[in-house]
Amino acid sequence: MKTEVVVIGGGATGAGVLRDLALRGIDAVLLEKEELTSGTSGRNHGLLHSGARYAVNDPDSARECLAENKILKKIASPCIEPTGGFFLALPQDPPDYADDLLRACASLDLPAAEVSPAEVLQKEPALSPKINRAIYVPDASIDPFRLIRANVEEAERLGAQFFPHRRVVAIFTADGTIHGLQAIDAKTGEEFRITCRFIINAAGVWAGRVARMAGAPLDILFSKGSLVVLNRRLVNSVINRCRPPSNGDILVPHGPALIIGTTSQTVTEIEDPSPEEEEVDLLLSEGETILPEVSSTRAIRAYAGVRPLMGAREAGEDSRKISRDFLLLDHGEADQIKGLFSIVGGKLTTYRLMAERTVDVIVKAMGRKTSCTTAEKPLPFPEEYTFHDLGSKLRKIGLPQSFQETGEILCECELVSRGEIVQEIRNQPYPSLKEIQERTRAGMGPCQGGFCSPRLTALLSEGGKIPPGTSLPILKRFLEERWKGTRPVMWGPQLREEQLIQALYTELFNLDHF
Amino acid sequence: MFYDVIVIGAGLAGLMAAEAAQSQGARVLVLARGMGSLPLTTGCIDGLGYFPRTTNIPLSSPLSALPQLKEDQPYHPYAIVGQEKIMLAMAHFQELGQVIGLPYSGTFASTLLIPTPLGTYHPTCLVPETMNQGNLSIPGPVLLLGFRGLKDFSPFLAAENLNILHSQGKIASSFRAEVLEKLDLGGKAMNGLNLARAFDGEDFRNAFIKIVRPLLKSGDRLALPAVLGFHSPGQVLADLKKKLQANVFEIPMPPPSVPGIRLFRKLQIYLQEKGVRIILGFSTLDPRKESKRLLGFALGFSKKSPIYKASAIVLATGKFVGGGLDSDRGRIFETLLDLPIKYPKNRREWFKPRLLAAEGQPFNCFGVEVNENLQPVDPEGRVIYSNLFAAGAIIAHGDSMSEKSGGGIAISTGYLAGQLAAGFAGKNKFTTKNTEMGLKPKDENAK
Amino acid sequence: MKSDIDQCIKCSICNAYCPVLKATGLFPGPKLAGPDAERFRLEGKNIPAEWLEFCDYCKICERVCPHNVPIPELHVRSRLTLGKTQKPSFRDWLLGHAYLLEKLGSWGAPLSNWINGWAFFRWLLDRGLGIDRRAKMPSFHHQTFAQWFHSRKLVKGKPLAYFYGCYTNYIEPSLGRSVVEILEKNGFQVFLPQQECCGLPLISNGFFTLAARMGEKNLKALQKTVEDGVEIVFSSPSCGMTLSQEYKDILHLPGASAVAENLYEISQFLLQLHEDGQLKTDFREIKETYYYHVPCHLRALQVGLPALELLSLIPGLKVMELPEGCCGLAGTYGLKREKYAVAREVGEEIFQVIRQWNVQKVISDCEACRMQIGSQTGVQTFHPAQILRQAYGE
Repeated sequence: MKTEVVVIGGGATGAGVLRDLALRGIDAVLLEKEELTSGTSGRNHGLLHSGARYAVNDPDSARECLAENKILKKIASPCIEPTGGFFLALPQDPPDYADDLLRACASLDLPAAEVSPAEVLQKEPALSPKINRAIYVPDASIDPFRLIRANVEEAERLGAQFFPHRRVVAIFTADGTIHGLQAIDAKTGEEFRITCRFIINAAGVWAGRVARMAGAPLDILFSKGSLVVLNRRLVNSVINRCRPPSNGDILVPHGPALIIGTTSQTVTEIEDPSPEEEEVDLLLSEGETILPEVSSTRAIRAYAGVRPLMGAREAGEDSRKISRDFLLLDHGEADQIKGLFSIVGGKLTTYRLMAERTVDVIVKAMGRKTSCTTAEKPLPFPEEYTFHDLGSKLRKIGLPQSFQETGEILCECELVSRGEIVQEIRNQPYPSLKEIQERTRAGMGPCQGGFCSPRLTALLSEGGKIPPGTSLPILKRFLEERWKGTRPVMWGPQLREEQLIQALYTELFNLDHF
Repeated sequence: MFYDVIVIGAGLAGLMAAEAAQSQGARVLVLARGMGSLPLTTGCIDGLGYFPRTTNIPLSSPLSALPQLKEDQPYHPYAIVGQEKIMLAMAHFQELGQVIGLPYSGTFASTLLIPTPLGTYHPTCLVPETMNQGNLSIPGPVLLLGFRGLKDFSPFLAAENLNILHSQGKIASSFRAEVLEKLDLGGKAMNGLNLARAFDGEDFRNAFIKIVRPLLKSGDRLALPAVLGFHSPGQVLADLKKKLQANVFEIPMPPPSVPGIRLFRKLQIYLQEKGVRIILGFSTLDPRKESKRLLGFALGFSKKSPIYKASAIVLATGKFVGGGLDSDRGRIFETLLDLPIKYPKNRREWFKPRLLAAEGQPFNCFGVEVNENLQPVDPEGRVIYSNLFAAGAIIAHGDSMSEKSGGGIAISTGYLAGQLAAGFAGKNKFTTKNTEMGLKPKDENAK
Repeated sequence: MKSDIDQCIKCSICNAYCPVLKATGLFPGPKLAGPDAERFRLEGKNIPAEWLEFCDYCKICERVCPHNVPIPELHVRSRLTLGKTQKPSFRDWLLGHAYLLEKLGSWGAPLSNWINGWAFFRWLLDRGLGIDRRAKMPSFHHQTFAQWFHSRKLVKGKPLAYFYGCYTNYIEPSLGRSVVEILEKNGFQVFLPQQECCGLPLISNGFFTLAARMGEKNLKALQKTVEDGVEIVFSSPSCGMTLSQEYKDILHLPGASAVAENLYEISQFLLQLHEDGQLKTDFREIKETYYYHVPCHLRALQVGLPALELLSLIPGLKVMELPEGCCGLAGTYGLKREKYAVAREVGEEIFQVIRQWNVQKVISDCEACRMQIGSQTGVQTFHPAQILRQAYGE
């Protein structure tokens, strides 16, 4: 295979870069070692920052977030619920921070407005009555799974190619210039080569590993962050603690659930991160301070992601940094490996900007003169997709007649119909249980896929989308993934749920002896 | 109101205890918050599918493993009840099945394998007659029939996986699949219970037979998901068999399970006919007790809540799903009487890293410790309440999920607990004098 | 109003026992309409409640749930929100204001009964208003129970209040008479507190504000009773359920709990008397077999099965239990044209058993159950108090 640019890493950055390249007419291929959003992009907070969180300590970052917030709301509105957000101060929080925040936002033209605690409590009665300051900001809730897939889908429509389950094993250079790479199909073991002039290393926490394949040193530091998902959203706005950024500061309504985050812990292990009990307890107790119902609300899942941060060398080189938390490293300049670029850091909210900056550099290196249009063109989303409007899901299937239209509801926790799922399976070249889950939310509710996974597996199998004889291993793997997420919150009603689900798969299906 | 025995819980263990006590002449009351856990079970009675738990080869005879089980796990409910009483209880259950019109075939001495909707097999001992012909050691072809819109049964998925087992020589039956489109249920939703009720009607059966007959080849057995009638499965089975000239069987399904609900309903009606009072569907029970004896329960915490008293009590409240146990971030506790439970302090040890760990989940072994008379005991082994007995999943030890022994444990402990409770009640009747003790409501402020 | 859907473990037992789900495909079932959909309902936002149109509010889902998920409360909340944007139809207005119709029917009796029996009138109601012509209409009495009560001599004794309800007052005053006579025989001085319709038909048809107003009036009178140290009995489980549960949980009326603490279902009250050794048990022998149907709203009251216990005191009397289930009438539900067939299908299993077992007489505490079972099977129906009264003789 031959192409101009290979992008490595199917997270937000990689997907955004692929889209930008495709829109500019550049031939590109995206390789991902597992499935889209298998890395950090699939384990974040789902928060579309207004920028207020960085206004005081990192105004550049704040400015970027604010701009991207507006842009994404324009081009990706179906995957954004415009919840709005608040910064809320409690008596124990530093009293000046609210004023610092207001000042900082004003200087950035960030539309933050102080409101009375009474007003906030009227809008969000579940909040703690001890709130003494409240500032409204245009935060929003975003669905990273769908956002990233929309980028890749549009790129594919324009001629780009995407391959999941392709692990890069070797990068070839000739005379200090990138020449191609070799990857393995993780499912079949088949090897294949791609000839290309440019490689964009957007491999997230694995970026260091990838860079070293080309002989380029790249130092990545890892910071693990954990988050807890509650069964009910309790609030309809993003809730931030009005204090210098700390653990457990933010609560984001995400679909019908609430995500409380986050923590940060330097780690060396990057595979399969999982929250510690102490982290879960910490998040719940911080959450409880601002939202008392948290402690009595069922937690259905907890997960952790690892943030890739730039290492010491990179952190020191100001000139290379596009912004404080995002580094674009041209290995041609730094390490005499022309054509290899590594992107490290950044946040979901600014993914499009990172991609734009990156592709600008590539385009310059190619000697072309095309400009970025990703901020203007809207991303494609299916009509039935309703993340931006929670109630509409009910409205769509609320009428008795619609049962005939949508077919029966297969994931009852998240109200996902057979029609939706069949559509997704049909449209994708690489359908899997994880893909169905991340596109439709099937399996993300309180029973965590317990009852719907066999139904979904049957549809995949009947649709001929999985090789014969693989349905049970696929189902088991999916169930174990879901179990991993419920382990850290296994008490109370969730323990009861898991006992029922485990009973289903052992007492009826006997999968533990298969 | 006054009874000889009160059974708390209407799962299989509770109902067996009620029946055993009643047949000893006791006046029995069954109290349960919901409809018991039978709707969540397959409808089969598992004896002992795997021993040790980690093996993947099913036991050919649960009975033969009992001596070793007793040695390895002396606190296992089977070890406590003992082989002789287990066999008596199982035989009694089968007699009962005959009487209520739900005959069960099989024996605790022998395992049979039946198919599941995922195309795996499930080792069990006693099966209702509607599942008899599903024994996977019967050679020959089977037509697996699904129903469009019945979301928990994909005959294609089941057939594919079962045929893999067949090709590996693990089962004798072979399978092929078909789906019936849009059967008319008279405007009702397509689900297992509605289908089962439809099958009770002869007209529906005839329409069904007309569609299915051309699909059957000679020598085929016909397999359906568990919908072979709700009220009269025996009649449905016989009718289909006669008119199709083929053996027919049903496959157990995820909840709500029709065979489980059938069993519950027929047991319930039988018990009511025998004079057992069954009160279901209340929210809370307020136990009334003296220091070493339970007096009874009030159906709520207000001063006007009815109070039921008994000479003996059987606790058959199940584990977490049943509601007998619950937990918070730091502890596991028994929900009705706060009986002592042994559990690891670190909640990480309540479960294994993998869902499908063959050795089973630790939480499935939590429960109440009992002595050889099924009486709950404290950590020092002392009986907590002289007139309290336990039955079923509330008893600790014995991971019925992993080893496939749920039904057997429920029946054997239920049967024994019921007899013991009736015996105790016979010798220790309440007098009017002692019923007045300890009957003040918890809230002394009421009036 | 907090919804405690966290307890739901998706076991589907509620669906297994929902009587409407087994009768029609137009209702998605309590699980989907309740805890599943609840996570998608936002406070104050318009949520479709068309789903819930066919819920008959039997509360069986809550009773069979192993973990006390308050499913009916979720349904009513959703209806309440919908009610703010959608106006109920005139038909529903009429049925909701059943108490007015009954008052009118009673005032106009026996002419009103004759009109009700007139096929053309029923056809008009059916076509014009959607009140099914096959639905059995009750017969009204011109002399109400209250009028009868106030026309007789006062009987002295320990004071006890009786909330008799609209049905007893306008349609079955003989039941009220039986209750009063039983109580007087046991040394009570019955008095009737000022009462309005309990409000359940208003609630079921979406008239929450008016129901709350009537509830407040009822509570005011009953509170006075309670303050005077007098307890209250009721003979209609639906009225009793409304007074002791809906007033508190759905309408949030202040003082509802205090009244509920002193509210007793009549069999429950008499049984308690018996437990205290104070019930007169000089019953005559009744050598008959009756079958007992447990009303859904009696089960919702969570008082056990006091009628069965009580009736077992009568010598010679055999009372068998019918298999449990909902009879389908559900108050005004089964009268509606679009629901009549569903209501009949809901109760069909019970009617079939009645036919199969050759049942002649059915006892049930709820007037709607008596009406539905009687009209669909032709059997005689009784309230437990009527049997007790008969057993007391003279």
